[in-house]
Amino acid sequence: MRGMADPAPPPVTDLATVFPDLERIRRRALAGDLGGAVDDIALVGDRRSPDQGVAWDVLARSEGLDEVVAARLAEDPHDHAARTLAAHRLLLATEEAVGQPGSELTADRFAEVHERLRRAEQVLLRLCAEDPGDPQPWVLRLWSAALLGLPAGEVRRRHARLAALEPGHTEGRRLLVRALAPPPGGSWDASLAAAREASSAAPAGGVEATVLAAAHLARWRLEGSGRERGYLKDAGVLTELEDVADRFRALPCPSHFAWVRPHTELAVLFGVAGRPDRARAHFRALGDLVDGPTWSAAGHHSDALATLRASALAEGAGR
Amino acid sequence: MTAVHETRVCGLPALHAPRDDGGCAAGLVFRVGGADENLAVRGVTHLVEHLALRAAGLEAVHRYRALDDVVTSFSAEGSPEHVADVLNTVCGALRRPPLEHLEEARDALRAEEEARPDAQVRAAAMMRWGATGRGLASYPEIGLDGLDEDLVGIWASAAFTQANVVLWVSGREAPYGLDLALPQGDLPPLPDTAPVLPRTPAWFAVPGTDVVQLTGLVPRGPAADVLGRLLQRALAHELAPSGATAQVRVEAHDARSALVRVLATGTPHLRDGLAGAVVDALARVRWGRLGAGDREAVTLAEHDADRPDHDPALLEARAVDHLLGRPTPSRAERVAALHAVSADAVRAAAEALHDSALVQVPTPGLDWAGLSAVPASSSSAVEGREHPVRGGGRTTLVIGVEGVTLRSAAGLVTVRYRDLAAMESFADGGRWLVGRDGFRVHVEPTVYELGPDEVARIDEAVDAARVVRLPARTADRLPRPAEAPAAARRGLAGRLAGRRGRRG
Repeated sequence: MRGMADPAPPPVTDLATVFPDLERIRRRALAGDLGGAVDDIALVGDRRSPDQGVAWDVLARSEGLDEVVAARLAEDPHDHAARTLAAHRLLLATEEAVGQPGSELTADRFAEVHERLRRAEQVLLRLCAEDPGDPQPWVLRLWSAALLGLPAGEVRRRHARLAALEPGHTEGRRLLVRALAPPPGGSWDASLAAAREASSAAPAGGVEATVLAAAHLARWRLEGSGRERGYLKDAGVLTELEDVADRFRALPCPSHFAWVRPHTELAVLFGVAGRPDRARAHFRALGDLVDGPTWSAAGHHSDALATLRASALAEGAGR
Repeated sequence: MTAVHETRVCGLPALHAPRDDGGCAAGLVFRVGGADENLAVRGVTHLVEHLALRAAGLEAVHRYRALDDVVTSFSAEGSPEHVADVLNTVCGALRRPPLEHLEEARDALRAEEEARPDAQVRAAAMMRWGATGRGLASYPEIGLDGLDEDLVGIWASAAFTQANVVLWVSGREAPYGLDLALPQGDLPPLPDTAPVLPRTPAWFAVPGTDVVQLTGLVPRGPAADVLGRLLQRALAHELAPSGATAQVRVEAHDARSALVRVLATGTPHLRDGLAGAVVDALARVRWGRLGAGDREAVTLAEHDADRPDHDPALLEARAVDHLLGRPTPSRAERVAALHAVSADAVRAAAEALHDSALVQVPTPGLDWAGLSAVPASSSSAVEGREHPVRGGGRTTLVIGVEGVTLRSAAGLVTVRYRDLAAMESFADGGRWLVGRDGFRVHVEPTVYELGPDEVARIDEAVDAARVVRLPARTADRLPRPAEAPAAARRGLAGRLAGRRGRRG
């Protein structure tokens, strides 16, 4: 039996403070060179790489970006990078406004959120038309489809357009799985089927395999409001999670920073499911880092998970 | 030298395109169609047309054409003698319709209604224009049974005259022996086409269909034709991965406007993604970069336009334009105008299409694409006595001196007597009122707490010329209180369902 671990320092959620590549992209953008920052994202991996998705996310979450984007758009309302980031910011703001799964919105808040999404959609529709070869607006349209609750046929169409540009786009797969889930308006059968398809096609060591873990995490959060453990204790679910985790850890992950989110997801899932050994292995792989949104989604289990994390880190690092 | 001569034949204005290949075709185009009728007598022009076609032995080859709502055409091709014989017979039948065949013609119209090829998308005209003018194209011919010999005869002599016709002839000369005497009359203005839609672009849903239809109005001209071609290309690109198909048609609407119609068809599995594909295709034409493929599309358009002026289809279209007051360019001018179309002009046409777009979708909605939902309820109610639904419930029928309102939790539907398009009047007491904006209210004594006195008050207030009288329905066809419609369920079922309800 393990003793009480010493408290660990709070986890680092801003990846730009750890990874110089991400820090450079952010610095360049905040200095006003949005086009240069987007060019740098292109260099962090190929276009389907999950690392690019992380780089876009880190950049879009940068404090002060709104002012830079607004200034750039005032100079050139047609600037492609600025409009892409403006749409990204609108979706991020919507995500924050919508809050946790199952939380209620007032009618006014709902109208405000939808108005914001409609604005983002207008920007993205035009970006896709102007540059049909750029996958990022299509990634954002998949996200937007999930937030709007568009029907599965439209979600699949958007994913097919992205896949035609970049087959096997990791972030696109994740967003497809999310957009097919209920909510917004799909079904867990469809969502999990898409996740299993993506996971089974993924190479060992690749983050692509963990799309299924993300789907189970989403279902647990929604069905159990982040409290009940029951869903994650189901033998079938646990077996799938263990299989995903084993394949993810079978070989060194080729991604530079995209491994943070799946390790965090698996740490949370195994921690809540009562598999502390497995959870600790993922915490050790994470070291100081966790994925912020996933970590904050642990809800009522966050104290227990923090303790688990502390004990894992006390045992020593080793990704 | 123009290849088409404006002349007069048998006292009628005529367009003659000489040809020396021995071929002969000719036709008569009248500026009258279903849009000139009112809902209560909808179908009378079509009925006269069928009587004339039947007399000329052409009824079997007649097909319903959705855009024939402002013109009626007759044509023949073959030897000059045959052509003259057909047109002479048609004019004879228009002067003196063979009313002894009225019932057969009525049957033919009913059969056409049952087989309408545009059944899935027929609501669009009504959604845009209501239950008058161009909007009537959506409706079944509800007054068909009441069109008697007198009315048909009067309509024929008023609607098919020497003042609203153009003869076109493709041949060495006008066929010998033409006798095209027609009554005197007037050239009527085009029906008022003020839309009832408060704003566009807009969408409405027709559940149970697997199609998406976008319609919109753009300025007529070569840019509209090129827009149609580029949109077709963009749609092919958008739909290729799914296996769905789409067709784009650009048709004359009036002298200044063309109606663009995009019809995308998929399977139930694909239908929810069809609307997005259509929206993206239009966005590509509005904002995307044009390329070599687009240039090829323009070249193809030029090729198609480079037809001899004596081409019968072209000549007939020219005759329509003559009636609409639009000059028609020569062959060389047509091709040159297409060649000179600029990207800016196509984009302007695409913007016009977007701004006026009305999109029918299988499942709601298209707000995400910046379109508004077509209003599902009226903006106001009439004042009057309230008649709740029998057996209790929240739905109430209000009957006042101005009109009727159906009020339910879902909203209001109002038809004012002064805005009545038609009222179907059943001998059993049922009254179905259709407003000019397309909304309808069914007043049913078996559904609401009202009696013969209230029904009589409605009958007194309604213009008798707008009433379609129908026999009593059998007891098993009378609606029950549980069938009280929710006010906001307007859509196709609420607005066009009269025919099915009546015939069961």
